[in-house]
Amino acid sequence: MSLDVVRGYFREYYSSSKLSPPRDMEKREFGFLAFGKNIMLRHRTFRDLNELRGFIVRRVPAHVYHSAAYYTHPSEDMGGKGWVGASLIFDIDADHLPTPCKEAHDSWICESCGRGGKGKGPGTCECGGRIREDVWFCEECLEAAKAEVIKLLAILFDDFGLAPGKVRVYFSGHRGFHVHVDDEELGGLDQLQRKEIVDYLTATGLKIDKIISEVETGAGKLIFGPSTGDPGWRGRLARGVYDFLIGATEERMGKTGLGLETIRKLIKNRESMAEPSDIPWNLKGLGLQSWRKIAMSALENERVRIDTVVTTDISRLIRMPTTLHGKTGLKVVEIAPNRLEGFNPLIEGVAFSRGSLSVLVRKSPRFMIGGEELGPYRNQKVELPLAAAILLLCKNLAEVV
Amino acid sequence: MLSKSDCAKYPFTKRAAELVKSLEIEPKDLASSDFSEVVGRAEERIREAIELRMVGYRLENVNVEILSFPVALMLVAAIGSNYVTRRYALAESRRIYELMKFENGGKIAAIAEDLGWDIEPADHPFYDLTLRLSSYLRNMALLHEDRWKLVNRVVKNGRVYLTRVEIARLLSEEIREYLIRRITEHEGIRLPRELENVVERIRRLAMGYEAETTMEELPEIVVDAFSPCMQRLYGLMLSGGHLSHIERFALVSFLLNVGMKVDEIVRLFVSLSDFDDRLTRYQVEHIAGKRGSGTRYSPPNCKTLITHNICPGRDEICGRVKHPIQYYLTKRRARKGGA
Repeated sequence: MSLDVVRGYFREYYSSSKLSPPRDMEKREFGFLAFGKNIMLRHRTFRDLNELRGFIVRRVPAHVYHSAAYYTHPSEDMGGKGWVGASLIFDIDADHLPTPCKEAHDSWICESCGRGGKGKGPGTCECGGRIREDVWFCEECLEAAKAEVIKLLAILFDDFGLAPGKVRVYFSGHRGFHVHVDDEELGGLDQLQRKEIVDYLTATGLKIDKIISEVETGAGKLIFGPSTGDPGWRGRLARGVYDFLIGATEERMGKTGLGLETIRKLIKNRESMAEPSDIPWNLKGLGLQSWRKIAMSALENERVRIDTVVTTDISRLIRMPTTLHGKTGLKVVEIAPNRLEGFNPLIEGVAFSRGSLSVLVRKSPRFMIGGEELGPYRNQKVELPLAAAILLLCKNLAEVV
Repeated sequence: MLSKSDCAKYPFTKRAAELVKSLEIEPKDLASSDFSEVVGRAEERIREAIELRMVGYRLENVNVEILSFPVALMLVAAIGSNYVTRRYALAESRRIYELMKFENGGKIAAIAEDLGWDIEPADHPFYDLTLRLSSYLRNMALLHEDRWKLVNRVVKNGRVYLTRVEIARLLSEEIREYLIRRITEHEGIRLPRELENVVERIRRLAMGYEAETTMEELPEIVVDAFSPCMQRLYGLMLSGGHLSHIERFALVSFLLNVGMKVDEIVRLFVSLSDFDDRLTRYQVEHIAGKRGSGTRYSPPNCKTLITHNICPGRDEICGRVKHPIQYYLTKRRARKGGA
């Protein structure tokens, strides 16, 4: 009954809002997940936006997807589709980012034995039961995800030379961002070629010992490393090392595996780095191994944490922009790259900004939505702003009364 | 612009093809004694490919060199053996690479442009030329050394920086594939009866070489010979641990490819409480190519496993292979040898 109420609001949204279909929509496959069901309705095709909207308003699915790929026969089964190309898709999800806040706001419970805990749950319970997760997206998660998007965009623009018009950033409707690249040439890349792109972004297989090396000269051993202005990963690594030199905490230096003596030297050297300068690769007392350790630590900060599987899967279904996410009721909105910094999904992703609804909340932590701070609640009846009520209903933490 | 002697060295270029075309030769003309030298050189090209793995270069007669190339492609097509096609394409591309290595940047750029590559001079102290990102990705896929990985390249503004020797190497990759395409286009070609002898001679020669390289059949499954990644996934599955979608795909396709039967795999999975028999069978059969598109899937190679964080770290054998199946075959062979 609660889901019927949510569906009603979703229907209202879809009847009255502007939807933006993907480029070449007639060549894409669409997929839908109904409320409360786990079976994907796939291989649907639509000639135009009206036909698609009609379908969505009639069925009111919880989730709307379209294929990253474009096909000659999108409604056939996978073998007969005739793959032509696929948008290049990047998925950045707070789920994959190691933020400490998850221990505070995420929890899981086994549906069979009732075992549960804080943070990310195991894939399956010890008893073999299914795990239900209750995950949240806080300020800290949001900032971490944004930082990854910013790193991703820098590589797409500077290294890959993509024109800004070909790159679109979307809030995923839940805990992260999707970046879609529509480029004729890159669209034709196969899985292996996309894997190279993924490895580039995540710095997988980057040979640090080729970038930072030692050369025997007449005047003794000299260390050669990259400059901050170098193109590609050389420069990115150098900038990461620079940030480390001027800003790393002693704790981070220790974790990197540097000795106490080296750490002291690095901190002392900071004074001479007050002015922007290049990396002092031949700083007295700092050997090749120390530099490589620093570089490894810098690399951890510089690499982009994308979901590698999404980008390499050339027949994947992705959430359609401007539709609603069935687990939150938030909408997938586009964000201009220059507005990313100030973007707040819990304001701009709100689809139901007017009205209120009375619900019985079983359990919820304190949360923000639509600029209001709400909760925590436990087994209580409250009248909530509509967006907040729908969020809790979608998450199955409340019911309509 | 490529000269006539360039065309003799690089007979795959458009320029060389124009020269050949202008002579308007038909397959039936090849039987005439005027062409005996050309046919002889064409046969020699293929022999060299099979016996020496590299086609040599004869400077003496530019015309024979240019003409024997398309004739060799026709002969290879008439032989109709995958083995000879691949071997020939590889050997020609090796010859071309060896010659290109010594050309200057301008000549290499001219050859690359002839093939339709978007190439520009590099404004860089170490690199000579830049290539468009998508062309680079298309041609580096089969090169396995670390230095070819995109992440280890200088990439700026959608262009990859390369030395002229590196460009030559990439070009030779493209040429190899191009030759395979050209040969396939000639499939089912009818050659004059006089050339049947030539085709038959090469076919017999190839058979001896091919027999040496045919892989043995896969006998029983030796779990101890699994690669570290597959050992981990296999153990994880047996202990009822959680496998992500891609981990499950990697494991199932691996098990199928080392010879495990669909039924055995389904039984393994279903013994774990939360697997639904019907769904598991469907998925396993799908990977085995018995459902859906009919494609039988191979497990991902090491590079892919590393990308998706499935590789738990490499051991000594891993250093010598690129694929978990290769690992399996290597280790199993070693065990057999030792036992």
